[in-house]
Amino acid sequence: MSTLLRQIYGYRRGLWYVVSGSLWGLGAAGFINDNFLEISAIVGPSMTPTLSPDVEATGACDHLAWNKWDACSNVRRGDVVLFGIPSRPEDTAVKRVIAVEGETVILNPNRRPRKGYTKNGPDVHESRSWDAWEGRAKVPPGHVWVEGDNWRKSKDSNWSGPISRSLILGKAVCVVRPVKRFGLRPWEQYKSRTKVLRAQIDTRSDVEALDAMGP
Amino acid sequence: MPTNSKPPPNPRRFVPTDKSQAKPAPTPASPPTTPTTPPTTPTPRLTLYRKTLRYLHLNPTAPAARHRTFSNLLGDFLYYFLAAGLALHVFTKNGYTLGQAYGISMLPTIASFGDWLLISKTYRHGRNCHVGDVVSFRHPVNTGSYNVKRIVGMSGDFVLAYTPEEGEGTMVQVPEGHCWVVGDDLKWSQDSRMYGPLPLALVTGKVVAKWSSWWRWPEALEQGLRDAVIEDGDVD
Repeated sequence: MSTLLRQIYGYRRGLWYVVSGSLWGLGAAGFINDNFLEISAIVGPSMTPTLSPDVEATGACDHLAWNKWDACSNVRRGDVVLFGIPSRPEDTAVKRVIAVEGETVILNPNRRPRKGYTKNGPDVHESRSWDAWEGRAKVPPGHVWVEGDNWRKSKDSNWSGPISRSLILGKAVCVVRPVKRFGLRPWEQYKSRTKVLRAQIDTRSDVEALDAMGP
Repeated sequence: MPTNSKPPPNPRRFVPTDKSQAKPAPTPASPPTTPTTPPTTPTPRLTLYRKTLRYLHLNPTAPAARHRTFSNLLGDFLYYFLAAGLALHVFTKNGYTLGQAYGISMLPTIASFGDWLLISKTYRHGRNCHVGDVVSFRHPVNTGSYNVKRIVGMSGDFVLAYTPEEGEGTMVQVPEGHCWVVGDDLKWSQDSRMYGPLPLALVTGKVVAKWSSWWRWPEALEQGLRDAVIEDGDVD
């Protein structure tokens, strides 16, 4: 036992380098992951065939690089964003931004929430709140409307309503895996068919009225 | 493995530079940082195993000593500065952080200016949060702003949608994954009565203590709910 301790003492410089090197690596990776860049996989079918086209057939998913710096600002129509889900605080989701604050979304009847995602399936209780918008959903200040590219298999703002822009954690940069799609931005080719009415009146005035009341 | 000699000196410690003599000419044969081959190796060529040990600095021979130059000192300073910065980032992201509070919406619990709040990040995303906790969250409408309010209803609870004795007395049920936050100063607070239930994903932490003056100890914040009272206090 004392020989082992003496051997460890002899190798202490090497041990120190290994321990401190791994702490440096973990700390730097954590810092970069929290503030700048994250790489995560898309495991659901809601963005097929744009992203992760084979995830239901083979389970092979796309890994995307996300820009996490100042993710809540400059969110535009067409961005693919990573956001925290309002109904499940510990999980994140990936969808495309369709409308920003002040704009009105003309709801697509194909995307009405139904059980089992089929076109003529029975209603779920989110169907009633979808019907309550009567075809036009105005996005309130500070919120965005997100939809998945696969209208058959996406639980998005048609189910849960517009989400707060503060929930957005990152914007997509490019695909990282599989390697043959490295660097591509396949979501830019897709054009969403959901119609959006642009804002006629500046809605910053709503937020300013809120600001004037104080925190 | 040194069994009889004393352990090699710490390579990061500085040796005093002897300025009285001229610098000796560097010997062209041996590069200064490579340790010499131990004389007990039977073959003159190093095996791959020993080369790997030397590359990983796991060999017992000490490398050349470091001199106390400005660039070495600067390198040390940067090393410890960066290490402290990374450690601080990990600590404030997952442990505790201090934030300054301003605003009248949480009177009398938190003063309108000058209070520092100790926020525990272990309660982020609403983990282990209960009714009556004071939480800090990212504002759902004013993107980028952080607010502090008290939770009066968690998912599934029924809460009064408006101020007591105002409005129709409508009650709403807080949806799953959300909470209902209200400020302590009901008259001057903008909270869930205006912008609706707050998604728990926006909660960044729970306020556990406040530090009002630097000459006093931090005081734990009162958790839990009390009945509403009408107080005519000075707004200071």
